[in-house]
Amino acid sequence: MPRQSATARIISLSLVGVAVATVLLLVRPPDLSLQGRRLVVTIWHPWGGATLETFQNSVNVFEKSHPDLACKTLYVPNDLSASQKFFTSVIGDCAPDVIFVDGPQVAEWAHRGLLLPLDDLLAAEGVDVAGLKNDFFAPCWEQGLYRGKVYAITYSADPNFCFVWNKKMIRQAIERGEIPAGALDVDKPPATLAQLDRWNALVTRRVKTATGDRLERIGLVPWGVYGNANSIFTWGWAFGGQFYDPATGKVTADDPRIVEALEWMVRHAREYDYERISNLASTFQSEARNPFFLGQQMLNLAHMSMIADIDRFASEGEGKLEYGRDYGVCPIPQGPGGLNAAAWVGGWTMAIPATITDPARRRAALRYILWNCRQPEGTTLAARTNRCFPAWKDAPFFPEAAKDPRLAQFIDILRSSRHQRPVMPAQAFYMDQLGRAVDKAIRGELTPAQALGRASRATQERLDEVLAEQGGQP
Amino acid sequence: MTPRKERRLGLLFISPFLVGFAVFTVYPVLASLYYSFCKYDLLRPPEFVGLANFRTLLSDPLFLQGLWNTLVYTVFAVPVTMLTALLLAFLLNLKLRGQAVYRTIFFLPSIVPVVASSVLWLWLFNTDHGLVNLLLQPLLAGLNGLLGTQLTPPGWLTNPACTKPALILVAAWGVGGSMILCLAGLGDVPRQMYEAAELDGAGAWKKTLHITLPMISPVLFFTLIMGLIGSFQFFAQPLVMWPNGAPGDSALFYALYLFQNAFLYLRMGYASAQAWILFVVIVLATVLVFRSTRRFVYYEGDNV
Amino acid sequence: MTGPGTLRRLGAHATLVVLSFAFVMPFAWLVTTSLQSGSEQARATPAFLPGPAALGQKVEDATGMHLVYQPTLEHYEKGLTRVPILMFFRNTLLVCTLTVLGTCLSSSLVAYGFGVLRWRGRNAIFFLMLATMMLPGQVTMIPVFTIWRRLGLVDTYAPLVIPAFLGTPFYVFLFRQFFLTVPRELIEAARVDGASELRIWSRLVMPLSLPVIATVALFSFLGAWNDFLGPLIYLADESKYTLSLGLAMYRTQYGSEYGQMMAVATLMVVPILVLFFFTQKTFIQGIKTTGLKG
Repeated sequence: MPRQSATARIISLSLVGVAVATVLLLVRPPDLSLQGRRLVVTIWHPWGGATLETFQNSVNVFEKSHPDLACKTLYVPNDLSASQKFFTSVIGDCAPDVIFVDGPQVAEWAHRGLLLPLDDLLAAEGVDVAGLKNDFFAPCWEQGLYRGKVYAITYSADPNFCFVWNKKMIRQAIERGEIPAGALDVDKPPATLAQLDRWNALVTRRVKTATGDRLERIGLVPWGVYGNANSIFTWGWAFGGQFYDPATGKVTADDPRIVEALEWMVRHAREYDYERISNLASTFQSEARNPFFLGQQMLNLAHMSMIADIDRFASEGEGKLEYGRDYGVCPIPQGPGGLNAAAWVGGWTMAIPATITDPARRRAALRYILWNCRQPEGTTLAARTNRCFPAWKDAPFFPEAAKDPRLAQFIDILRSSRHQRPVMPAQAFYMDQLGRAVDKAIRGELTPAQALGRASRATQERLDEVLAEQGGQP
Repeated sequence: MTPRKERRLGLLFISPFLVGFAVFTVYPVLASLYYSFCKYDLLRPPEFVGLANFRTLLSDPLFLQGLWNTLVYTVFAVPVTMLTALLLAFLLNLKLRGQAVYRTIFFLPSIVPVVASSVLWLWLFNTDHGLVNLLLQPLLAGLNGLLGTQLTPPGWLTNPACTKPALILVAAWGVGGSMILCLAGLGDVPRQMYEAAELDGAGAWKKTLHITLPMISPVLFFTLIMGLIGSFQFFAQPLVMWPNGAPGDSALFYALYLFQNAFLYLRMGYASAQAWILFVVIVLATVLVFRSTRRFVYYEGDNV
Repeated sequence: MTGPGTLRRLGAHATLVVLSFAFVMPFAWLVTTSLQSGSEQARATPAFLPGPAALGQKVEDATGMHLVYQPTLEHYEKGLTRVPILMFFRNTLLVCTLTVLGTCLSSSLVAYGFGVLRWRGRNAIFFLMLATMMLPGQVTMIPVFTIWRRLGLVDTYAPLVIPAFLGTPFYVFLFRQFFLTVPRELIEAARVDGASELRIWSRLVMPLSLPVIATVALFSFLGAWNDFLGPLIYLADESKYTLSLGLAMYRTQYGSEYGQMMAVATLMVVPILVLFFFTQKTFIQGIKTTGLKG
């Protein structure tokens, strides 16, 4: 009877499944690596891809020099799902000993009582907190503070940004007569925003097609600097603006100089057609496909990781680019009135969750953090992992990195920068509001003043609400 | 069998669900309902604030934008995907050589991991170099030539009016699951019914309308309800395609804003209020569909 | 063969082939990027077809772009050693097997209770079950997590697998829809013969539902195979991670390895593809045509 055999099939399949599952459960080898160690430090980190090995290597080196400690690392992806995992673990009291926190998040998480204040721990470890402050670049140190206490120590200093220009493509365009000879000198990059505007006009090229104009080549896209929010931070500071006044707790996105910066961005969007440029800029799909070294974008602001990407992806074939001859790296053109204020610093910090109560575990976690953030061997290995700089001024990594003239430019940016994104407990909300303001302004839905005014008011309201809640844990 | 015995047996059969419901559903659902009346940031104890969250939501432009985007998406995506699945299933149910290959190919987009396909969409939908517009270009050029119009290729990723159509196209790509269900439904239609109809002289169209569609209506009903529930909670794909947000908040969907409130802005109470409003909307929509389609869904088992 | 029949068949084939191009695109793109070297990806318009290098210079399209590139297996070699993919594969297989088993068993039992047995209140409870799908999971995630934590089962596979044994609403609904189409007289006849309900479920209804079982097995397998958030939230030991988490490990802030990610993703897709190809007939063998009236 067919029915019988079908049932028999289902049952036998189920049995096979149970057998397979049991075998798989039983053959799991026991984890021996942590035996014989006194204390295990649990670390959740976002270092995947090419940085997975360098990170693991740094952990191995740490274990060798700290025989009483063992590290248990866990990769957690760098997006909102990591926050979900971290929050659930804190609520369930199973958080790790060390976590990596993106700099701008620290204040918010500290305010909510997610992070442990480190001051007493540092003192117990014999570290002079006031002295520690002077060891770090000021913006890097600032982003780990909240209400006068240290909640996180900066692991990577991420200096933003340098100006890059594609000499090779510009030269070819001049040879083809597409840019008038003598109109610009490829070896003398624009020094002011006015000169930058002129360069933008010269390098942009439209071609006609049966379905309208198409941009073949573009210059710098002011809102294309790693997202709308980071763009307005960069240009807002370049124009001399201030986004937040920590003394009074006032959100100042409507600072006239920031409005001016956004007006400049909007003029650009009008002149070159916002949608067309965004189309071309959206070819940026992965590190390998950056319109700058694909030869579609002549001028750009570069994050320091782009240097390694150029070497890796544009090193052969049609895209071959050699520094000096084919492209240049220099500081961002000056803002109005000869202002050099565009440089700012981002980066990751390391912190201990507030739910870690065991003093021995706290101490072990702190030793791991300090090793990574303020010791010669640790900072060098960390910089190789995070592909930015240490935040510790005297790190031996700097002389080594400065040998590359391109990275030397980024070291200058780091040394000269006075800004980090606002340290306040509504930072993520503020970022999104700023991004939205830029979007609405460049698409002409609101004037820059209106858009930034709205962002400012909404954020202020949110910030006041957060601060009014029965204040965060001590 | 007595009604009481049948009821006891019924409860026995659904007992796995009842156990799961009691252990893993009741408390979390009630907790989230309570949070919706609280100011709650996950870490500190919730503070009761009455209807404040709901009042704030009604004047929150992003909440309204998210609701609007979600309604528009649902109204278009659900029928488009259902129709695509059904048409593909019809094609794949024909007696042809190589159907195994076709079936596998049409199912492919459903099994490519999202992280891997995310970059693909940016590439396909690029206005100037993307494959979608490359195919569209000759059509537009032809129309422009014939009618003297000024049609330009759509900016799928950069024009607020085009982002939702792009998302619907992506959804139509991934109908593999519903397609399989429709195929299973089609395979279920007894061949004798067609033979009988043919004897009566019914054509292909008549057979489809009077036999096939009624016979697979339980499956279509299932896809409709699930499509509805799914698209009201839709948010993963836009997050992948526009990590920094789409222009004009045109892809800010209800569930995405809810997610941001819960885990980025740490307003779990506010997010819970949002969740419960969405819950009511989905329940109403589902009840409406249940009521209005009762006439059209045909269960053979009921017919005795 | 008659003329019109052949023509119709050709038309159907043509339609299917054209559509196939659209649907094969995601997979073709996946495979092709997994085979491209870094510098090939960094071209303004990367070539799409793998082939010998000599051909690469010759074959161009109308606009002069080259179409053929020299494939490389470097992403496969490096990608497979960078992350312990085999271990993740084993873990995933374990989770998937148990999930599929649990789902097919429990969801069909529950569906029998809702769809075959007739008792007062069943529709109300059924709608209650559907309603549990209508509340966004983000707001219940944390309370659910605390329950698992209290049970001491965080960092085990239990939170990923046990729910499958407790009836998943989606699959209960699906089973119910098919059970409702089983002719009533068959069930009544079995009852008259003195068969118990459990026996009717196992000997009559389930054998008639093989295509649905296959569909549910496929869907729940894919669900567990691709689940990302569940394993991420509940597992705290890298040696327990699953493939979907392993795939995410190729991404990072600066220094993602997309080529390697695509290589591993290809390897993740291929087994499912093969399995699907050889079992696809199961999904479409109608119950009434095979089991009964034959």
